[in-house]
Amino acid sequence: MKRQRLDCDVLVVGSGPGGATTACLLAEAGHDVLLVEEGRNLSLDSAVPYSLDEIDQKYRNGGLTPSFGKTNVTYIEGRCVGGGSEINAALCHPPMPETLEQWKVIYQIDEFGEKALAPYLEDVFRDLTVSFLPYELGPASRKIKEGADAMGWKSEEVARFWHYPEKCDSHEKGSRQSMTATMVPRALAAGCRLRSRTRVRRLGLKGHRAVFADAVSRGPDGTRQALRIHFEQVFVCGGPIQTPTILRRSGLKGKVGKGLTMHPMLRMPVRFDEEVNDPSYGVPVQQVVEFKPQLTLGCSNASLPHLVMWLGGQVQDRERKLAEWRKMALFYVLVMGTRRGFVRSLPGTEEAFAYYPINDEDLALLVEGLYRLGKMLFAVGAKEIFSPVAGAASITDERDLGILRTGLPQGKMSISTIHLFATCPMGGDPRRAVVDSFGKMLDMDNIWINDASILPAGTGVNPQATLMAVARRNVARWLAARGSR
Amino acid sequence: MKSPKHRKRHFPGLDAAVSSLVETMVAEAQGADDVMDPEALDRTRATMHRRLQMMPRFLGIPMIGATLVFDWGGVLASGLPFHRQSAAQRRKQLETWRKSSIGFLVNFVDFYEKMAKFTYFYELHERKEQRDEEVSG
Ligand SMILES: Cc1cc2nc3c(=O)[nH]c(=O)nc-3n(C[C@H](O)[C@H](O)[C@H](O)COP(=O)(O)OP(=O)(O)OC[C@H]3O[C@@H](n4cnc5c(N)ncnc54)[C@H](O)[C@@H]3O)c2cc1C
Repeated sequence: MKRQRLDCDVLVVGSGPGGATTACLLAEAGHDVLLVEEGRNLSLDSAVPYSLDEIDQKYRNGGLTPSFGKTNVTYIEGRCVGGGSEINAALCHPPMPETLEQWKVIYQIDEFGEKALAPYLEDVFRDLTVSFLPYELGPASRKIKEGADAMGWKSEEVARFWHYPEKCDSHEKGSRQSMTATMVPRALAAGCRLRSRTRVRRLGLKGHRAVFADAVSRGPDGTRQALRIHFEQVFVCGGPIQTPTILRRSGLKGKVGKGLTMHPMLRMPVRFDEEVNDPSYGVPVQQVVEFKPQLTLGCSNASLPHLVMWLGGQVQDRERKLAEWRKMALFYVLVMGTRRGFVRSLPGTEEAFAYYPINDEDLALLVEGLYRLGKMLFAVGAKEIFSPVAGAASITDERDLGILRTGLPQGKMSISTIHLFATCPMGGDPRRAVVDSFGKMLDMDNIWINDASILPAGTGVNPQATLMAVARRNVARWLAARGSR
Repeated sequence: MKSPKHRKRHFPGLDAAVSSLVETMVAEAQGADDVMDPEALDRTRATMHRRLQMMPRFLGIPMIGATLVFDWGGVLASGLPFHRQSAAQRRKQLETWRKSSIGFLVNFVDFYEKMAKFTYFYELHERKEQRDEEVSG
């Protein structure tokens, strides 16, 4: 394969919320930026959201990659221009001030905290038209709100990265403000070059500098082209699993990949007597925030195929239940994982291998979350709760909810996650940090990391807003150091 | 330019094993009197094959291996590989794996179950709705 050469001042690897933000701001400041993305460059409407086509087009490994441990946790990563922002629920939760203050102290992050991040968050909210629903809450969200009220718990509507036109009465009339709708077109308008279907395999190092990236570009017909990209500075933004994999393949090991943490999550279908599942309202937006950041209760999108999938094998009279699928919704419990795992690049395959040792406390909290969710939903008329354990009987009487606390066999629960963090944590503590307080890789002169892998721990809330604000802050510092704004 | 290099893996017996697993899972999820939709079933089989190919190698190869072991493991229990068993025998073999104390076996069944059901019902309902919309619109 004859290798092609490309040159740029700044190479940005990965076009998710971290990479797209980085590329956009650098290009707008007049830098010569090349943005390289492994996945395809697709429009938002190239596939129906949450469809099989979308999974094929935009998810890595068909959306099914397990991290290994005592109990495996399946994680999902986007792989397309825009990364996770193209497939996620677009829920925008600002970081909790106490989390930021804790990070500042524990991880010794300079110029950090609620106040320091506030202007960057404001920019994110403006650029991605973060909005609350312009119409009333949908029925599943209302169940959460009323249930939380009945229990005396605090719940709130989470805003979304979503643009709603005036007089909007349905979710379909609004539009997702993902990276392909916002930061990527802005980056391109400012002169950034984009190479999709191009996977960076490794960085070439010379002393304390990275001098080139070896990449492989794939044509639509599967033809492959080797590339060597020469640059002055590189921002690695492949996401919390791929970023450490690229770095480790490049020979940068040490603490890289070691701090992996996540928000493990369990889903639970629940049936009511009335219709609670109305897709015209979009993703349910209400969350119980009473127990945040450790524990969040909410509801996800649930089409008929999703419900069938999560109903597992335990449903006895499926015909009746499936005929009534609009009366069912898919609720979830999400916890802030307390353990640390790692990510490695598997020799020979160039694939990422993730290990996350979920522990008994995390599992106990997940199960406790299910119990509380059950209590809350029975309080607002739930008729049947389907255990997340394949083969377990459903619960139709509130008094039987205790089984969720005591009787769930660990290895048999389908635990998944969509929020991953901390494989290249930032900060001033050299025992933990991979990058400094502003994303520059320690001991390297020109490698920067600017995605969710630098967040030093789980956010306890939907993380995209936090990571985009941090990414903006780091780019601002980078530009200031070079005399540009 | 190098010509396309596919990482497709071909394993004898895999088609039969995957197809029979898919059929059994879909039958479980349907009502007793429901007739399977052959087109949706075909698409589900094809999608399952694609999923196995899309998995990272460290997972895809063990999953393919486990699928073949599952299929031929039926010989020990009932004298026939899973794909040649009766519906009742298949259900029994699935239950044995589902209830196993070995996490991998449970995860294996869980994977096929979730994917087959999701895909089949997706093909049956959502895809049909999309096609109807295209025709009418
Ligand atoms: C299903 C789902 C729902 C979610 N819902 C929400 C939500 O509602 N709200 C919220 O705040 N967060 C949500 N998240 C999480 C959020 O999407 C992620 O935290 C965010 O996308 C992480 O951004 P990132 O830039 O770190 O990485 P990513 O979004 O993962 O982007 C990394 C990009 O880099 C590319 N890449 C990787 N390796 C290479 C390589 N070697 N060469 C070239 N390119 C490469 C990838 O293909 C990818 O496009 C959700 C995530 C998922 C998966």
